[in-house]
Amino acid sequence: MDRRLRLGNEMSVTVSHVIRSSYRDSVWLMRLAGRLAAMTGIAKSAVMMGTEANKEVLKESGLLDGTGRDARADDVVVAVSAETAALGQDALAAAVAAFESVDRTVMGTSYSSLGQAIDATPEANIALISVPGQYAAGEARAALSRGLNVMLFSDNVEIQEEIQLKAQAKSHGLLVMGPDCGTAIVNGVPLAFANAVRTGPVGLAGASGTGLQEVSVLLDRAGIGVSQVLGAGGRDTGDAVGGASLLQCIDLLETDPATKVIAMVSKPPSRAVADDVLARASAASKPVVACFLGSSATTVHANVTHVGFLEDVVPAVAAHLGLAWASEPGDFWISPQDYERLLKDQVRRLSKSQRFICGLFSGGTLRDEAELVVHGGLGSGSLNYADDHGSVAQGVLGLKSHRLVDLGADEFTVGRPHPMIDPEIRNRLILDACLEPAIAVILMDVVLGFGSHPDPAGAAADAIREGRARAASQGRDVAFVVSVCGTEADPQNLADSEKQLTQVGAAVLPTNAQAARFAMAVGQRSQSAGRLRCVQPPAAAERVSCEKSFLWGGDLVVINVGLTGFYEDLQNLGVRVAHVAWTPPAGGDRDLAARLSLIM
Amino acid sequence: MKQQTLAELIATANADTLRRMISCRPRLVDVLPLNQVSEVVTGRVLTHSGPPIEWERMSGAQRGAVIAAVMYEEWAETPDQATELAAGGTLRFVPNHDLGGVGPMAGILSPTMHVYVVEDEAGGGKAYSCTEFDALFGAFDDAALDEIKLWNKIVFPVVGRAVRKIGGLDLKSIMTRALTMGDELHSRQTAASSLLALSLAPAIVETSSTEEASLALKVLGESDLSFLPLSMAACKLGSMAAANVPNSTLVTAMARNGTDFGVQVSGLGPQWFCAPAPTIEGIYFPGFGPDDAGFDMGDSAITETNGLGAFALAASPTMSGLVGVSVDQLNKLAGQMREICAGVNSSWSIPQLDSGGPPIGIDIRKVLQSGIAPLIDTATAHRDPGHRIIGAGISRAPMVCFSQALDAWFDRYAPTSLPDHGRAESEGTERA
Repeated sequence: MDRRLRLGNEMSVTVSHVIRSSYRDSVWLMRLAGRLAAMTGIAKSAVMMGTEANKEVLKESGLLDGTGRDARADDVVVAVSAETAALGQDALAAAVAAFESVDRTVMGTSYSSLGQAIDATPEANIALISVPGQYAAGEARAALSRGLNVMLFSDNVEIQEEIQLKAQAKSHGLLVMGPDCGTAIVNGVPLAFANAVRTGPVGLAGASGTGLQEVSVLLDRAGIGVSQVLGAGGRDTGDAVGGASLLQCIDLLETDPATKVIAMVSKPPSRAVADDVLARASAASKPVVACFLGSSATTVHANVTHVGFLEDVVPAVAAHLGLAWASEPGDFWISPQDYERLLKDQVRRLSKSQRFICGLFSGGTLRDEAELVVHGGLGSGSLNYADDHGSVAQGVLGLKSHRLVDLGADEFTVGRPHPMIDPEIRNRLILDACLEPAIAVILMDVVLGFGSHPDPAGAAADAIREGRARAASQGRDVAFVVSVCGTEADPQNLADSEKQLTQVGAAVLPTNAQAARFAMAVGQRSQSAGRLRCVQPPAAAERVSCEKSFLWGGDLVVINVGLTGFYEDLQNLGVRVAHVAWTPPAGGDRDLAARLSLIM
Repeated sequence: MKQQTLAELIATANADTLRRMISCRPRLVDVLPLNQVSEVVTGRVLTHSGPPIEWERMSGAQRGAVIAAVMYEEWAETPDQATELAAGGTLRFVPNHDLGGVGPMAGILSPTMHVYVVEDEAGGGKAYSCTEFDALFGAFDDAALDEIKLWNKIVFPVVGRAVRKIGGLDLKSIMTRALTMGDELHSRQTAASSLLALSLAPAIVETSSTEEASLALKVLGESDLSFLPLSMAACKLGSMAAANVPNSTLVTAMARNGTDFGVQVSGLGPQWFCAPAPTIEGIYFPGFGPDDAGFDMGDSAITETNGLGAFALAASPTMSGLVGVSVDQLNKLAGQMREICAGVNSSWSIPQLDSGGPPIGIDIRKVLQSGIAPLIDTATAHRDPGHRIIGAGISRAPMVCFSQALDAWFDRYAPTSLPDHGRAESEGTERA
């Protein structure tokens, strides 16, 4: 449980320590901060590079003292607010020890530049780049010039840089996935946020991270599986970039012998890009399924099957593979009895004044899909995705309509990790929402897989339990509707995760779209399944044959530039990976970097 | 003619600087009292390691070394009297570097102490250095003073006669061989020290009494670090050859006095860019720990400046324990230092680097760009006067020295290229 909430405003003392000239990636620092916050007697903690912007953050959270003020951009500030100075010093000592132990291991296993890592790993065929946005394009250019494909996890890359990178890649026969590409599975290797899914005949490509995760997970559960999952990056299907990467992905999947069906997942592309992509797709030698969330097809393309929701990709793919499939779009993949039981259990908690759905999503595409259900409905045409996502300050209080929030949006991730890594922000909002009398249903996604929090369902379950208890103290209860994006093979395990959520009284639905539809039913106090079709979760009757797919000539060999967590994940999977212990040029000092650029 | 960009000017200058540094050909030519080598060191003048410093700010070890030198010169009879004399302001302290010399650890040398005289056959420069006495760690007891006397009354005169007899000794060839025998020529000098004793032995036997020859050879051969001053002086010659190349951004000196860490840059002449001396991470002799340690000290980082020491750790498997990494990780350190250097010293060949040379020519631009501070492997002195060596380990040059040097470079060579010049400068001053 969030100890910040529990400890409230007790008396505390702030102590801090500066570790000189030591750069660590922000996720590593924030994880360390989390560990310190969990120590006895620590109310708040922060571990950050000593940039001016970070010092402001520290100041606002009351963690900036004289020691921290003197830190430079390339120093790390460790600051804690503790019950006693001695407990604070214990935390600082733990932080120093963590730095030293990493220094020892990192010195042995990492390289100080991309060039060094490639020199030592000539077989490398992809660079996974997750450095801060303003530096990412430079690293990507360097990787491309050395003949590596690039997955650019970083966001905040200038769009002109993206266009140039993709042109450079294309001219060298290389692929750039991203920027802002959070999900890929290449040659069986999950990169960044991806689930443990079975190998199969479907090649996925898309400009949507959690959309690709959801579809790959549902294909796995259906017994079908994927050959490749390729991300294009969130802006790829806009006019400026023109679908450059998505078109290349289709080329790659078309020539990949293991891919039998191609499926595309994206927010609605611009008109021109949609035309190009669909023209390319309809000319493909393999059937294509297109899920452009929220856009209805205006033109019929012979070779392309259009579907409305992420889950609808599965039956469309099954049809192309000649597999028997019982379900139609809009079905619930649970038994009618289960549906009614779940519905009754949620509806009976609600009082008359509780009217609204509050969606707290960690996946941007999952939020958009739910939005489509809640506000748009199937086939409603384009949705305004630049919708009001609500601000942190505003939170969920005083809600006057349904509101679905993407907690991975920039405004929620300043100074903290993505909610798929650190559920703290969502936990806080769950508690807030439980105290808001107008809220009937809290709708959530829980995303499992590599890169995600080690137990996101457990974290959500703690918050649900606490939230319901708080609501109960005010004589109310709240409905919870959740879907878990994950598989039995994921490190966090699907069944365990669903069980934890069920145990605290959440209704767990098999897909994100079904969870959203179910939340609407709860909100509307539906009494039964009615005309809805409830069918048992479909699965391919016969085992789908699968051959292993190899892009770029063989096993994936990765150069990881940036987040150490990605390196650890790949190492644990037995993937060949070289880690670049990247540090920002000029220690993150922009003035210095500008001056150096004049003479280098 | 097309005007060269700043980057092109620097590239040309740095290539020239590096060529000068690498082509230096050091030769031991004589052993003489310091006052015969430098006319500055006459009367009550002591030299010291690192950038300029006065008694008031000296570290404990350097103060201890001053006490030993004052007593050796018989300017005072007791440590208390020596301290009083030093504190009284009548002694003058001069950095070795300013006199074309280098001294290990405290680097405190007095007028009648002998020094090795090393000449650059290629460029004609001349440099001096002295043996790493216990006194240079701050010890001033009888044994420490006896060691100074032994060297100055017997060993140095014996070596001097031998060196003159054979017309000088080529140091480059000894260093070349030592690098293939496990030395990195800063903290590990075991092979070079043996080679030195062997190279001089015939001439020593010929020019001294059996008793003195035997004693001198025993002292030279038994010490694992008897070559250290020669390695340092050889590197100082490289730096002197590489100094004062206009526009150059390569480092010509890193030196520490136990209080400050100073950096000199070729294109910026004799100016020191200083920051507080860092701590040393490493191992301690029994009975000592980090709380006893003084800060980084000595002119010996001239070896790293010239691509030896920590820059050549790949050559020294036995150093891995001291550095705190495994043997195969030593090569990686070379890779890291290569990131901040202008090139590799191809006149040397290290088997562990696929017979390539160690990185050489620290570029302040690359240090600042990469955030990788030059690594130094070194000995640790006590924080208080009166002790001998207490440990060894590694230190990193403070980044502030390099950012100050960059400010000075712009002041000197491109003062109008900076829109925010005033602001950048004030920041640099503040850091100092």
